[in-house]
Amino acid sequence: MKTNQGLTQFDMRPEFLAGNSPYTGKVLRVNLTTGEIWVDEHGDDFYHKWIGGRGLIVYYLLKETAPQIDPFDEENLVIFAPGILTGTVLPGTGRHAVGGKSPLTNALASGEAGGWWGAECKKAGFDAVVIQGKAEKPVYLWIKDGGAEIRDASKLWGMKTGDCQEEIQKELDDSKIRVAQIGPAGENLVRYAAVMHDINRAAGRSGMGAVMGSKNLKAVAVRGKFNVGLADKEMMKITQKWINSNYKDMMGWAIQYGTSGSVKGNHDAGVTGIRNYQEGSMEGIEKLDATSIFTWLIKDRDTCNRCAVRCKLVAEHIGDLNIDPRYGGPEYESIAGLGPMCQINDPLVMIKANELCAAYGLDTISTGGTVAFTMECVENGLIDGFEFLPKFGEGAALLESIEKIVYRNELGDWMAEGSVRMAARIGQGTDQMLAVARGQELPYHDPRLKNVMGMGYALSATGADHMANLNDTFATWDGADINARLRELGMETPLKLWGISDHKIEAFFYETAFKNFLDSAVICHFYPYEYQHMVDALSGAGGWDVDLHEINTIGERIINAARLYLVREGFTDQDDALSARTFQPTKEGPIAGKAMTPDQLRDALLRYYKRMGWSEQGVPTNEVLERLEIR
Amino acid sequence: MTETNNQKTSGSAHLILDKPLVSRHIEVDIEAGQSFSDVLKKYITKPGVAYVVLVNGVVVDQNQIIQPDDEIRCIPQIIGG
Repeated sequence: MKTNQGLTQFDMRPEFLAGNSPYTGKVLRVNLTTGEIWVDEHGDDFYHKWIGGRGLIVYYLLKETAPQIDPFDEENLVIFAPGILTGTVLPGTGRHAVGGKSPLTNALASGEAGGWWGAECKKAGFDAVVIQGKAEKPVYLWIKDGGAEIRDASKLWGMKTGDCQEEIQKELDDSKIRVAQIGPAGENLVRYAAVMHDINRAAGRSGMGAVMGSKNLKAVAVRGKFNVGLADKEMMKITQKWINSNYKDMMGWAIQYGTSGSVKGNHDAGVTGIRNYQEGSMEGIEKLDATSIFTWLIKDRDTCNRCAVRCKLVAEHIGDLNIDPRYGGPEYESIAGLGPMCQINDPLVMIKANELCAAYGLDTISTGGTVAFTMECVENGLIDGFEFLPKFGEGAALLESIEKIVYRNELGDWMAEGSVRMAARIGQGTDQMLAVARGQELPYHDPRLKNVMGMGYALSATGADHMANLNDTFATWDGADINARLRELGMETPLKLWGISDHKIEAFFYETAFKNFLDSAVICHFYPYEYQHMVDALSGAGGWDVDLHEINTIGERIINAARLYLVREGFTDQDDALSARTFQPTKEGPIAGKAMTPDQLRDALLRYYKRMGWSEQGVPTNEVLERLEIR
Repeated sequence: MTETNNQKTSGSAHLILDKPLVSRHIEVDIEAGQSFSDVLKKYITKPGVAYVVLVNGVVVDQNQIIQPDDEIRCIPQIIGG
């Protein structure tokens, strides 16, 4: 395959060029084996049905990949998918999804990232980019103003993300180019390698960075000159005005500290996993909280396209450990995974670990989970034969673990496979120490407190996921946005904290439909939008005549299509499960003695299957698939 | 701390609230026998915040009934990252 042959150019639709449409109607296709570049053209029906983002990812995986391929098979797809609202004027829409078949879980991978990449992709003239095949040497994809080109990336291979982005911008002589890329972790096929955007915005979960690495695809760089239009600008102003009037009150937490403001609170409430989910509290947790790190490590704030909230942190430090501000700062999940999960309470070490994950392209949640699992194995004398053995509480060991994972050195080669594959290799009852669902390390929202969240982990087509889920502790308060949405549907609120009642399953059904809609549109979950806001936004963007039930139907369609993909890939109801650690209560702390039993989880799953219209084996029925027009 | 939802009791409990749930630190004695949610909605009126209720350091459901000598704290909740 030849590289650097110049842009292959495609014509844009007149409606898009005129600024009257939020979608271009063109999905860019690239075959890295043959070097072919073409576009799929889609009409309004396609966007009504699949919206973009996760919906588009599931559509292409079902349509174009053979069942049960190896995720590193060149037939697997890497899909970058903004949504119908990405790049529009609506606040909170600076996001897009990245997906394919996950090398960590063998299930669906679909993670969302903020920043500017998604909006720039739309401005460059494409609703999504679908990449297949495998290049014979390292390449990157360059997309500009309705054209695309495969370029040589030999000199970029091996670079950290900060250096790679700078090199691409220099090579193409434009500092405003937005870069999605992998670091050395993806190149070395670490199964939880992230796809990084704008250096520090991760589509982190499920290992799509490794799929890019398997294709010798280092990066996708975009730059666009088109405006993402609207069918009805006045209609869009309704939702714009509402959020602009309310975000300072409703998102005050994000404006003040971002998600880092929740660290101590989550710890004190029993939300955070500590020492691989073994303990109920950790000494020194306050040192990791925003109230501490803002005083000496957080030097600036950053944001995403069309967002005045600026919840992103920028850390910087010069000293024993230097912190490079290009790599941003840690979110709650990263702090929890690289902090208490590994019994680390040194904020400088935690932020350095976060920087390394961004520079090498690693998912911080699975990195923290896998290192903590390894530390517990080491503590119990279950791993030997290696000179380097990380221990809980040792900051240097955490940082060295990350280096060894990225380059698959020594024990790092085992850790690069994730905790589930490690447990299978080690045996000796280490499966009892796993904190995972569908092969993916748990986020740091303890299902022993948040029971519905736990059920959501078990059901998620993408492995344990806290975002397209219901947050039990949020839903106990009537002022939470979830309860505003549930009341729009006529449901009673608030929800009770403990257990999984039929009422909570009904709420989960609707909330996951709404969240799957958000992940397809693609919209930031932090924005407290309600159904009517999305109805008005779709009307403003596409000129669509929809109601709130249509929003749910779109979400339900995407959940069912993802379930169909799981079934096709060989998953059964027995895989809708949580690992052993989640059923073992802590002995002390705010949720001491609390945990669901496996039978309670199974009972809840059966009630959820029934609510979805699935069989008792959790398989969508033909009736449901036909109603949702999936086949 | 109560283990049942409907138990009615008399006496007082101690409520402690901090930013960002309220605009300033609050410590107040309250009557036992009411549900946590009924009491807390009078004190926590800011939009955009959710919280978990702890009694003597242990998480409880807001629908439970406040018992004498309970020390009640609320932990703000946010999600994401």
